[in-house]
Formats: sequence, C-alpha cells, structure tokens
Amino acid sequence: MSTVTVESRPAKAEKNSVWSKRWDRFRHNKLAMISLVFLLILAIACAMAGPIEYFRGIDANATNLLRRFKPPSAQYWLGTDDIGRDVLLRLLYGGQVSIAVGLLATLITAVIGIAIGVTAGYVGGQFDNILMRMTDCIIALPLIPVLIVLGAVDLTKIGLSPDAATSPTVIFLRIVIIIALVDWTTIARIGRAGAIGLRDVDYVRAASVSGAKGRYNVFVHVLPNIATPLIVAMTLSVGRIILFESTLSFLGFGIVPPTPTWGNMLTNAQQLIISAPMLAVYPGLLIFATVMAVNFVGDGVRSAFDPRAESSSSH
Amino acid sequence: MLRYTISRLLQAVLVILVMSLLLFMLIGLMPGDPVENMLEGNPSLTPETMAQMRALYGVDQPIWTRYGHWLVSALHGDLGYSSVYFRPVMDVLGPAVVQTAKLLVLTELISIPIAMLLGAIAARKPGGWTDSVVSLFAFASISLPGFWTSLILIIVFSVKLGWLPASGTPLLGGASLGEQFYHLVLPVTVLTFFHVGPLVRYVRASMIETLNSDFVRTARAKGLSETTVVMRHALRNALIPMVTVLALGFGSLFSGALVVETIFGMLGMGKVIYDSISNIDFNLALVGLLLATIVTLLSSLLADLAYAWLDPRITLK
Repeated sequence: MSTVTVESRPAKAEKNSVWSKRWDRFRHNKLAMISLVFLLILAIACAMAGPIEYFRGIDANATNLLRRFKPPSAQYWLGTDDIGRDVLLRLLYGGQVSIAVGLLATLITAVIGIAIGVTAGYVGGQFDNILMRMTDCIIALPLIPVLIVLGAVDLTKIGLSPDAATSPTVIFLRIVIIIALVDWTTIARIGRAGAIGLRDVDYVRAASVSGAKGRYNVFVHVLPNIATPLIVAMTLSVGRIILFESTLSFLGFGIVPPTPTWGNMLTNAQQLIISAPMLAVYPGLLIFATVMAVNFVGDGVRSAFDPRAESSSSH
Repeated sequence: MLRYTISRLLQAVLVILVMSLLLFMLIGLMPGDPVENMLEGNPSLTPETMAQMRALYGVDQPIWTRYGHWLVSALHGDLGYSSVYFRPVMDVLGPAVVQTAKLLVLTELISIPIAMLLGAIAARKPGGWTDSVVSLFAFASISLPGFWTSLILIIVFSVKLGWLPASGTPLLGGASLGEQFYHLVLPVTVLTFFHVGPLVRYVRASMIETLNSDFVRTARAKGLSETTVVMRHALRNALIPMVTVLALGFGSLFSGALVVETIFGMLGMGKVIYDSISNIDFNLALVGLLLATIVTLLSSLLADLAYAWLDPRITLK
C-alpha cells in the first residue's frame, strides 16, 4: 500500500503544475475548445487535400469548360467553378497556403518583434526612442496600401533572376516576408515592456552582477516572463495575417493563380456574382470561420494564462 | 504644452521626410521605369531614343539625385503628372480625397455612437450576457474580411433583393445628394462593421476602468441615478483614451476604405492608389501613398495633442 502513495505523489504534483492548471482553465472555455477542434479538423482536412485528390481521381487544376458551374454532386461535393475545377479541392489547397502563410509569417514576425523590442527595452535611451518612434510610425500607417506597393515590387530589381522572381516558392515567401515586415510592432511592444520591466528587478541585477551576459538574461529571465502576452499576441497575429494575405491575394498582389488561396478564389467571384453566387460564399466563409476560431483560441489562452485579467480589461 | 507641441511637430516633419524617401525608393522598385512604361508598345522606338528620353527625364540618374529633384519640385508645388490620367496628380487626387472623406466621415459618425453605446452596455456587467453578445459581435467584426462582407452584401441587397446599388457612386455626374447617399449605404455599412469592433473593445475596457474609479463611486454614493452615473460621469471620462484609439484606427480604416472603394468602384483615394499601383503610374502612386501617410501621421499627432489637452496629467510626466 505504501508504495502506491509514494507513486501517486509525483502525479499529484504534476497535476498542480502551472501548465496543467492553464490547460484546465482553457478546457472549460467552450468557445475556445470548439474553435481549437474546428482548427484541428480544418488543418487535417487541408493537409489531406493531396490524398483526397488522388483517391477521388480528380485533378484540382484540370480545367474543363464542359463542366463549368456544376452544382454540388456526389463527385463534386461543392460543385465546380467557372473553368470546371472542383471547388472543394481548391478550398483545401487554398487552406494549406493561407494557414502556412499565417503560421510562417507569425513566426518571423515574432522573431523580428522580439529582437527589436527586447533590444530597445534593454539598451534604452536614444536607441529605444528611435526604435519606438519607428514602431509608432508603422502602427499609424495604412497597411493595405503599403502591402500592395510591397507586393508590386519587381524582384528582378533587387537582384533576382526573372525565373526565380515568378516561381511559386518565391511568391509565397514574398508575401510571408512583406507581411512580417509590417506586422512585428505589437510583439515588439510586448518584448520592450518585458525587458524594461525586468531590467531593474533584483534577480536580474543579481544575475548581471554575477557575470551573466545580456543574451543570457534575455533568454533566461525576460522571455519566460513575457511568454503569456507573447503567446496571445502571436495567436491573434495568425488571424490578422490570414486576413492580410487573403485581402492582398484578392486584390491581385498576393499569391497569384493558378495556386489557389481563399483570397484569390474570390477575385473572380465578383464578376460571377449573378451566375454563381455560391463561389463567393465558400472561401470567405472559411476565412471568416478560421480567423474567428483563431481569435477565440487566442482569447481563451489569454484568460487561461492570466485569470486575473479576465474581468478587467481586454484589448 | 507649447514646447511639447513644437517638438512633436518637428518630429512629424522629420518622419514625413523619411517616409517620403522610403516610399520614393519603394515605388522605384515597381516594374519598369516611367519612360519605359510611357513609350511601351511604340514600334518606332530605338534603344538610343529611349536612352535620350531617360536622360531628358532624369530617369538614368542615381536614386539620391532623383529624390532630391523630386523633393525640390514637390516643395515648389509641382508633384508631377499622372501617366494614366494625363493630368497633374493633384487634379486626380483632389476629387478622390473628397470622395474618401465623405466615406470615412460618414463611417465615423455612425461607428462612434454605436461603439460608445455597445461598449457602455457591455461594461456595466462584465461577464454578463450582454457583455458576451457584444464581445461576440466585436470578434465577428475583427474576423470578417471586408472584401467578403462587401461581396455578400452585394449578393443579398443588390442581386437578390435589388434594394441597393452595387456601386458606391452614381454613374452620372451631378446626382442629387440623396442619390449619392443611397449609393453610399452599402460601402458605409461594410466599413462601419469593420471599424466598430476594435472601438467597442476599447470603450468597454476604458469604461470598466472608469466605473471602478473613485469619482464614480462618489457619484453613486451621492445617490445619482445609474443612467446619470454611466452616461454623464463615466462615459465622458472613458472617452479620453478614445481620442487616441480613433486616430490610431485611422490607418486601418483607410485600408478598409481601399478595399471597399475598389469593390464598389468608387474613385476615392484608396481606389486611386490601388489603380495607380496596378497600372504602374509612378507619380500618382507616390503622391497618393504619401498623402495617405501624412494624413494618418497628422491624425495620430493631433490625437496625442488632444489627449495631452484633455488629460493634463500627461504633460506633467
């Protein structure tokens, strides 16, 4: 009997860890949980686009003018588009692109934001002033016009070969990078606040006195302390970036056809509004549902990580 | 206050200069160059005449020289010609500014009262059911892609029901004011829905903070009615941070306007900028973007000053 009690102790300690408490609080947030499940299903469905294409024997990019605007059927679950392609498959492939852009750009955003923010907060003084003025400017900018110009940049003018400049990979990376270039400001502010808040805290001072380098302090003391706002900001950033990407692709300055994305699937939809209104409904509905779900998850994480903030403010 | 104002103004001028240089370089990275785009498709053109034209317009100069020239003539009021409209860029942008101003002012006039009302209602009982409904609404507002909302509203109200026009401006010039408003209903609805979500969240947060402050407790203790406390005492003070939020939201509102104007075919600033970049109209794109940037920067400057004026505690720091 005694062995049992000894064994159960670590399990109990495990259950009371910060992370399990957070998960527990998150789990009880219905909206956030539903959103998380929805996102997982969506991600899996999008990842399965290739196998689905193979097993159903439909080529996602094959055009056929004899089967334009087919209504939903056993073969084409959501019907076909204006040049006879299967809508469902294109939605799934489009989802791959949108989600990949959202995740990758968020990651780069976080790296740029943390680097700039933490440096500004840590170094302080004039350097901090200049960096923060820069962030203020970017926050105030009308981002869509700026992103359009960035999307219009002729890559051959900055040293890429004409072939490389039009390759799908480069076009994908281009949109990831230009979005990251304008979206790092929120995370920079969080990083800066974290660094400033901890610069004068005794245990960080103690670490410095005992010879810890700036980089060590950043990784060991600053980053873990700003983990909560950082994770929340990054989640919200995924949603915002998916919106940016779809808007840019819709306007023709993001991912270009034939690669489908939820945004560029809507570009033609405007002309087809009378003949095929449903083509305008599906992609947008997916963007909306995905971004909404991401935002709910972000909000769920926020309240699960910081229960005190629940009732006070939420911006 | 005066010193603060002057230093902020000087900063703004510096920032605008830097932005103009950045935009100048960025615009220069669009495909082709002005001479090439102007003469493209002219078969009688030899490389030599092309080079001569380039030299004539100074396109072959290094970027610093070109920027210097541009800046000098811009400061003298010469902002160049649009290569698509064959008119001075300011002649194209003038009416566009008026169009966009109409759209944005209408949107703000509708959004602000809605945001104040919803935010105040939600803040009275954080976590209550009204709060949940309002927060759901705010989430929908920040998650909806504006271009899709536009398409859906066009499908429902223009195509299916036929109640409202699918274009944002009357086709014929000289339409009556009523006619113009009629065409603005859908675009303003889309923009309002896009704009109101973040505003509601700020009003709510700010109201919750204010409702917990001492002077509100005093007002309640005096026996004032709940409506007076919320509307007269709390809301007024909660509105101070709103000034900043409105100004900071201007950039995103302008982005929304670009999308809405493009879909509803309205020749506002956003659509002109979009067209100028699509058609690689260097001068028009540069000035249009710069104008949009200057307006957003000035609005955030004004907000800072207004904030300092409304809440004297700021300048004391």
